Formats: sequence, structure tokens, C-alpha cells
Amino acid sequence: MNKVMIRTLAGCLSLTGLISQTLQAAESPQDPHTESKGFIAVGVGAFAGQGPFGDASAGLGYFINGAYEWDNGLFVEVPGGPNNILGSTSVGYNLYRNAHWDVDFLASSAHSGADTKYIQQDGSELRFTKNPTNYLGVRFRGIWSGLRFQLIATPKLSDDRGAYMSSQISKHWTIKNWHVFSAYRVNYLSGDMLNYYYGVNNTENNSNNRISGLPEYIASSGLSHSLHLGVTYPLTEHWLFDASLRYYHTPSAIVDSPIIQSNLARGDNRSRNALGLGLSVSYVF
Amino acid sequence: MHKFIFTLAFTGITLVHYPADASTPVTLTLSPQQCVALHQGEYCHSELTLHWQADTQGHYCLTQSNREQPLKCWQKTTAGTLTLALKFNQNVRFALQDNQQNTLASTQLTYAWVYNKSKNTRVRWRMF
Repeated sequence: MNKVMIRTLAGCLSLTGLISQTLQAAESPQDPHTESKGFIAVGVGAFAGQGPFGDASAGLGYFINGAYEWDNGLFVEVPGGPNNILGSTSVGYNLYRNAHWDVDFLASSAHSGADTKYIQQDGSELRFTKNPTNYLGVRFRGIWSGLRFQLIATPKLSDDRGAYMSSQISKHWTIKNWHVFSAYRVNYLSGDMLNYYYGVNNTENNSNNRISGLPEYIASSGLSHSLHLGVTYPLTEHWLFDASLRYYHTPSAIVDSPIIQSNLARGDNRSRNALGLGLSVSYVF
Repeated sequence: MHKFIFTLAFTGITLVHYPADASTPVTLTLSPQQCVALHQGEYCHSELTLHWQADTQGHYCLTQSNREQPLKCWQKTTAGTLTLALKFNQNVRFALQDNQQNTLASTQLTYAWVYNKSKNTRVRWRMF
């Protein structure tokens, strides 16, 4: 996630002074409490992962996780941490809500602006700076029969990169004070968008993914599948422990790219699909 | 002495009640003293240990708020321990009573949470 964007949005959340008072111990059962409109948390975590986009690695990191909705329906979400599966940083407007369903107008991103990297024969990296793919879309979220559903749809991504759709289903359990969940997500990724990041075009007047020696590649559309298992445990009113295991099935349209094929062969313990493990503690304000 | 009582009450470790006869203190301790739920209103599960001690032998009962029957009673003894598993979503008060149902000591199990109740899915769905 773009750290500058995270900091900016987190700053906005802080500066508006609208961070909710979410953490309170019960002085008495009858104490009235105002309804929470948001939260913000900062955390540190350890991760280990393997996939097609980078060398197998492990390390430490930090994150911000927060969300706030104003009374007029405008909201901002800065999801972060190992157990965030809500997606990317978003701003939007709540169009409709009842006890079970939410409909939001959403501005977010379908693909981050991370550089496309190509490992050359001598091991050095050739990088192509890539802009994020943003969208304006509609999000439906709801709970039905104990399952949580989310659908995001947009007919047009930024820079004419096609349409985008993301659907997700998740199930939650509470075992003692442990919260356990599993989530499955399918994303439709347009050929135009994948081509921007993973295509190879060696025409003379092209500066996008022009890599001599690689065959031309025009990516088709694809479906990505991801599975997420996670647990959260409240250590105190302020501290949370999270653990997560994620699996990402990379679409063939990405894996078949000569860039990715070459990186898989030359990179350090890369794999076609991605697997990640994360552990974190976070402080909720 | 008042300072001592205040200190104990403030730390929340042990609540001590001194009946009229100050020479017979009774202590009631609870461990753990707090249970934290992720969201306000959802049940918190806790394995509790309650321990009481008195200077004089007698008939003592341990009671729980919102429960008519005592949790356990002891006869002709000066100390007792009770362990129990509890599921709750509000503060719970425990008291040690004598056979006249006078409260000799009490302590509270605090119900706490991380996220307040909300209709807002941005909060409700925080933990997905």
C-alpha cells in the first residue's frame, strides 16, 4: 500500500479530531455509549511470504488500520495489517444501509502503483514505473445466513484499463474470545489493466514494458482467487493480536507474461502462486 | 488503615471489607479481574478463580450478581476457593456473605471491549 497515501489519510483522520472513542471499559452495564463511527489502530508485525512478484522473504513491518464515517455518509477507510481483507484505501459515500446490507459509492484502486520489475540476465532489475489503477464504483456488503458478502463493481477503470469486479464471501466464528474467520475472494482483472502491468511491447515508440529479447505479450483478462484464514484475539482493551495465512492464485494472464516467467526463473525462490503468513500486534486508539 | 484500604481498592487486586469487628477481616480475591471482548455486547469467556479467607470459622456463601442462588457455600471453615467458567457481557459482581446474608467482601469482574457497538459496517466489519 502506498505509504504516502496512508500517512496522508491517517493524518486527515487525526487532524479532523474525529477518531472515535472506541475503547472503554464498562463502568456499569447501564452506561450509555455513543455509537462508534470509526477507529484507528497502528501495529507492527512479522511476515513471511513467497510469490511471483518478489523474492521469497520474511521481515518486520508496520501498518495503520482505520476507518471513519461522518454523519452525512462520507467515509474513509485505510485498511492495513495481516487480517485486513477489505481491500485498498478508499473514500466513498454510503448510499443505502439497513440492518443487513450496505451500498456504498466508492473511490479506490484495483491495482497498486508498484513498479513492474524485470530481472535481467545479469541479475539487475529493469523497472518500469507504473501508476495505480483507480476506479469509481459501487460496493455492496451484507450479511446473510451467517455469511458476509462483498461485491465491488465498476464499468471503467482509470486510463481506460477496462472494467473491474471483486466478489468476496467470508465466514466468522467465535471460539471463546478468539475470532476466527475464513474468506474467499475472486477478482476479475481486465486485459487492458493486466497488459499495462505485465504486457511486453517492443515497438519503437513505446516506453511501456519495452524489453529487448522478450517476445511481445498482450495479456488477456483473468480471474484471481485468494483464500484468507485469520484469527484475532483482544489482549486488552487497547491491544489486539492477529495472525493470518493467505493464499493467492495468480491468473494465467499474469503468469504467462514473459516478464513473470523470466522472473520466476531468475528470482530467489519465487513461486507461481503466493502464500503469506503474518503475525501482528496493534494498538487501537 | 484507610490508606491501606484505599490502596487495595485502587489497585483492584483485592477488595477487603471490614465488618463491625475490625479484628476479623475477610478477603475475597478474583483472578482474572477483567475480560475483553472484541466488540461491545458480544459475550466474553473467562475461567475464573475466586478465593476467600476469613479469620474466624463460620458459614460463608459466595454469590454472583444477577443470580439468586449462591455459587457455593462453606460450613465451619475459614477459607475457600471456587473456579468457574463464565460467559457474560456486562460487569459481574461477586460477594462473600455470612449466614445472615451480610456482605463481608465483594469484588468485580469487569467486562471490557475494544470496539463500540455500531451500525456502521466500517466498524462492524473491521475484523473480517
